[in-house]
Amino acid sequence: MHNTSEVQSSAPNTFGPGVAGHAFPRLAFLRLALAALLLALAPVLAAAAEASPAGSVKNVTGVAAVLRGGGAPLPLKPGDRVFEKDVLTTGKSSSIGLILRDNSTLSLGPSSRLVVERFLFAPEKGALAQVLRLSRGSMAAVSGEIVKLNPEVAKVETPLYTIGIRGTHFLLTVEPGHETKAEAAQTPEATNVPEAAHTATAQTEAAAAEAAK
Amino acid sequence: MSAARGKRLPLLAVLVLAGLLIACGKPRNVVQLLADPDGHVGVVRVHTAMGEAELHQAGCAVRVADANSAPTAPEDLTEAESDALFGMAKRALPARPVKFMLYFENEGTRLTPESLALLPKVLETARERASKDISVVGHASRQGDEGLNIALSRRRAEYVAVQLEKAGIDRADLDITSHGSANPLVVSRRMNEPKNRRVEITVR
Repeated sequence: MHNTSEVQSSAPNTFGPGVAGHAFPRLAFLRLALAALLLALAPVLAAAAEASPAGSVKNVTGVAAVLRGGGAPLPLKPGDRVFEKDVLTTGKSSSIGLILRDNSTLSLGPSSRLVVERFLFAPEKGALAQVLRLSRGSMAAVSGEIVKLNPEVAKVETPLYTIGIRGTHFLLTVEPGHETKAEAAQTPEATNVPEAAHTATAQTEAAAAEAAK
Repeated sequence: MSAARGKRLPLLAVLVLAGLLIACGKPRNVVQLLADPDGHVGVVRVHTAMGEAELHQAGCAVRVADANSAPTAPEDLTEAESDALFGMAKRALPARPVKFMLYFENEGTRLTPESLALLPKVLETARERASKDISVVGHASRQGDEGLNIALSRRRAEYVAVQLEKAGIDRADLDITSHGSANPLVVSRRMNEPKNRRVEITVR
C-alpha cells in the first residue's frame, strides 16, 4: 500500500544503467525491463486499487483493535479507516461502531471478531460486494447502498450459518468456540505471536477458574 | 400475611431461575430482524448446511444449535433476551450518515444561492456528529468535453472542501473524489441538467 513510491523511485536505478548500453540489445532489454517492471508493480498496483477504505470507525467503548497484513493488533479509535481484509476484534465489555462507504452501519459487541472479507463500492462501474465474517461475538447492522443496488452481493458469514440480506436492520450472535484456534487467539490484547497468546489466554482462564473455586 | 409473602418470594425466585435456565438452554447463536430506523421492515435469510429460514417480521429471530442443524422456526424474542444477546452491539450502532446535495451554476464552481445557504447546516451536522469521515464527491453534467467535465467536477469538490476547511474542518477528515459526468443523479435529455451539476457531501 505505502511502498508504491519506494518501488517507483528504485526503478530508474535498477534499469537505468542497462538502457545506456548497445543499440541492438537495447530494445530487447527495454522490453524485458518493462515486463519486469510491470510484473514487479502488479501487486503494488493491485494494492493501490484496494487501498481506498471500506469505512471508518465511529465509536469505541473499551478496547478494539485491527489486525492488518499479519502485523500486531493496532488499537482503534474514532476516525480510523478500515480496509478490505482487516480483522476487527473487541475485548470483554467492549464495543465498536463503524460506518462503511456505502453508508451501511454496523457494530460489534463484546469479545467479537469480524473480518471484512470483501468490500467493493464503485456503483459507477457496477462493482459491488460486501462480505463480512463474524467468527465470534455479536453484531448489529443496518445495510446501505450495496444491498439497495444488488442484495445478491451482500452477506454475513459465521462458522455456523450464513445470512443473505434484503434489507436492512438485523442482529446476530455466534458463541465462541466455533472459530479456528488461530482466530480464537486473535483478540485486542494478543501479541503478534498467536501461539503464545493462546497459551496466555488459556492460563489466564485457568487462573480465573482456580480463583472462582 | 408475612408467611404468605415468605412463601411467594422463593416461588418468584424459582420462576426467575427457571426462566433463566430455559434461556440458557437455548442456543445462543441467534439472528434477529428489527424494523429499520424509518419503520420499514426488510428480509433476512439464514442458511446452514442443513436448511434455511427467512425472517420478515420485526422482532422475529431464529436460532442455530450447531453447524449440523437447520435454523429453528422463527419466534419472537423477549426484549430481555434480545438485550442480553445483543445489548452492547445495539447501543454501539452508529446513527445513519447524513447526506447533503449542493448544486452549482452552469459551467463553474459557483454554488446556487440555496446551496450556499446550506453550508452552515453541513458544518453544524459535522460538529454534532463529531464526524471524522466526510465524503465530498464532485459531479458535472454531460455538457461538453468529458475531460473538461472531469476537471470541473474535481474543482467543484475541491471548492466545497476548501469552504469546509475554512470553517474549521480538518482536511484529514475529508475524503475528496470526483466522477465527471459518469454518475448522474438524474437521467436527463438536457446536456447541462442542473441536478447533475453537484457536489454530494456525506457526513458520517
